[in-house]
Amino acid sequence: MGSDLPLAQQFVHFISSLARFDLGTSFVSRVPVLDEIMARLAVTLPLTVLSFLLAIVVAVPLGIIAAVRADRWYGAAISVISQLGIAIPVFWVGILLVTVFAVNLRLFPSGGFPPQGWGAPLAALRNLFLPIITIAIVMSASLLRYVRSATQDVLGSDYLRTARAMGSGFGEALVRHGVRNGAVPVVSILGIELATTLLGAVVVERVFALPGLGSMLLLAIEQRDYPNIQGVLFISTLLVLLIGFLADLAQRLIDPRLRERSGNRP
Amino acid sequence: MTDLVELKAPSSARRTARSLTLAVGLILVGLHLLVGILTLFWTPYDPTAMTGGRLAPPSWEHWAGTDRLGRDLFTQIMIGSRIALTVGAGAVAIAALIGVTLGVLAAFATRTLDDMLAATFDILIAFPTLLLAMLVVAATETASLFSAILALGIAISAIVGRLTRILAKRVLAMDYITAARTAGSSWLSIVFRHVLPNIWPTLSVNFALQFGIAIIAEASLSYLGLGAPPPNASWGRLLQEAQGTVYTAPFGAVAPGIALVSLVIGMNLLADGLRDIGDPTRRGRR
Amino acid sequence: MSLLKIDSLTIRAGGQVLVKDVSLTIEHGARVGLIGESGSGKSLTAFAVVGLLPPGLKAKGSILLDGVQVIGAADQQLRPLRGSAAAFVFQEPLTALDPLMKIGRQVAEPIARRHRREGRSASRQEIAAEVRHYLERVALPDIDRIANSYPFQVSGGQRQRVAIAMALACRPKLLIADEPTTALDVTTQAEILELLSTLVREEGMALLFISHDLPVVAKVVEEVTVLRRGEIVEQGPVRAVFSAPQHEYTKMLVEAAAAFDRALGEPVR
Repeated sequence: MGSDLPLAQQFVHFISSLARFDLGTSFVSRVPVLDEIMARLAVTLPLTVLSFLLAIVVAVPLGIIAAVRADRWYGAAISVISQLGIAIPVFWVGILLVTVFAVNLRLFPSGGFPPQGWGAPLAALRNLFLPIITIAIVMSASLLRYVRSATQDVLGSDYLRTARAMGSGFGEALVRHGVRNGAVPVVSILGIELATTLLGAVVVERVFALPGLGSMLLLAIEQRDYPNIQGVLFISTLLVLLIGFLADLAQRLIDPRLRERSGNRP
Repeated sequence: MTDLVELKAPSSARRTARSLTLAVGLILVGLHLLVGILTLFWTPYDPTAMTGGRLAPPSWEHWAGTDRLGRDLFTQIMIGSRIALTVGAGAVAIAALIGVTLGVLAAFATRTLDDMLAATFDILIAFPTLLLAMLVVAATETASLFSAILALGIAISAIVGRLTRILAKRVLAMDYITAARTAGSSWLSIVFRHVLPNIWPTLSVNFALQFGIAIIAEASLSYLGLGAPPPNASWGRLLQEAQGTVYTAPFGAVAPGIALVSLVIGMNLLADGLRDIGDPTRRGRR
Repeated sequence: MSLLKIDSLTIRAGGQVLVKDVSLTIEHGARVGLIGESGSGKSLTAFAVVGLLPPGLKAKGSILLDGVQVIGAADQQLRPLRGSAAAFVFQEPLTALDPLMKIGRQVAEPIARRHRREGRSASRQEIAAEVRHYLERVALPDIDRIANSYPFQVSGGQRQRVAIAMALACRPKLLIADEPTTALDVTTQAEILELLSTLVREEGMALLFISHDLPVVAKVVEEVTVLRRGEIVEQGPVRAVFSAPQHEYTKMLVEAAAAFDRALGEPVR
């Protein structure tokens, strides 16, 4: 990285290297940072994306039920459990799952990733199973609360009342008018949650000893391997920006009011 | 639809549920606070002494069993309360100091400075508290209790800063502020007499929430080995140690977690309760 | 048989009585006003008519809408009444319309439902033609553009016309207009009132017009009921009530309206 050059020159050098996606070489392993990151992303990206999809599949219906059936015991129960869910650190969920499913029931490995990686797809999936469940549990708890609150807004909306006053059934009105309106705030939260999970994967990767981007960062921090730290941060920031952009795009597709404003933003 | 406004007033059952929320929150947090203070003067055992068999299961002598060195786990969990509360309070205090100052500054600042601060807050918020804290720790030479507090405080200050900026701008747009300005009040007196008192209710709710987040983040840092080093018995470190021995002593992986979750839930409930008190529109009409 | 017969309607929220012992009858084609300040229970009464009270509210008494007992009926039984027996126009058209759905599709919704209820499926072209018809009926200009716009893209007055078109498209026997002009500016108010009166007369619908604004009500209805804090204080033909108000509250309303008109230099009627 040219550490003996003056600071300003180092900075210019750094920026121009980034522009060429040349992230340098690790101080410790002497492996090019980008190669290492790509290998690690092969674990972290599937882990994050699959957890994210699972969390959506769980949280969206439960969140809607919690709002629509708030007066029933199961609606209230869902809300209480989600309150519990946001208070639990993700690594403890992981440890508990390991204790139950890996140690006691011996259904899944307690950690690690096959050395041949996705060359052994079934083994890889088996190793990712508990980590995915772990992230999905914590993520769906917080996602559920946003879905519930978006649904509550829809339930209290005038347009839903209009539809029902004209003879639409409750479920029909909810599907026809509620889904799009409720999706607008939820989509922006989804973007934030995905970014948080991607960046927060470090903890779960530690619990399950997964060779992902997070454990690369952790190792780099422990070894003060600055090229690796910089590289991971750079790629993470790019991914976060990309996710934010996609979430923004999705919101604009759903909400014409956002499209209209896009031309003349302050 | 002005006719229906009064319907938003919560029923008496709702009100009871709300005061219950606050009460349970206060009890949980109060319990941890009492235990934390107690550990300054007395603990069941010396936290560093080997007091029994290694990895003993819970018993009458050792309510939470012992760790792999035979030290009493319950004692360490009690000390964990103190550490968690210290880190939480310290981190929130630092975040409040930095965040509120920068947030108010942004609200009063010129367009350019305000934009810069707002953009900084937004970028920092895109990163999870834990990751920011990890980076701050990476920048310090050795891990200590103080470096953990500082790291979390700095990480959380962006959230506080952004909230303060938005709230303060809202207050500054009020007519009575314009009146006070025309009457010649200095901006410092406006900050202390009008802005801070007005945004305090909302801020305090956020502080309680951030307190809980800080506790989780501190446990995660300690779990990753970046938190306060031994002999600070952080719950995160207890759990990390217990994970290694989960085959023989699974209980050690449970008890510290329960302590942690109970404190975070207490803080969250406290925040909910404070929100209801601070926001009169959500309080029931009498 | 009367179109709507409300008998000793009482609405409670927990221990609070919001509407007390209200009785009101509307014949086919009649135009009735419901006046009261905000919080007097007039909107609640209207919602109770189609069984759409907000959750947590309990209604007692009797409401016969088109011969069907509404109170105590299941949502399933009430659904066919909504739209066909009674349709609503609400106060705030910006929120009453779905912000994310094009106006044409929103108007098409009640039309398609009506066809389904009558047991025949209408083609897309038929429905599109009917959408155009109802948008024309409420005197909207540039119909193709408006049908293809979202609610936020048209003016407040145009939005309220769209809302009226949707209610008309239900072909209801009773049109319930809940403060339909309150959110609009004075000029637009007058136009919407004019439109409502004309349409109600031409389509032969009955009208329940809810407002806090006495001169507005006087322009469109024949009979009036004055509500105060959930109770009826005065009821009768609009001329009788306004020329010789009996209750203090009505007197105050008439007085205030007269003062307002004197200021504008135009008599009440």
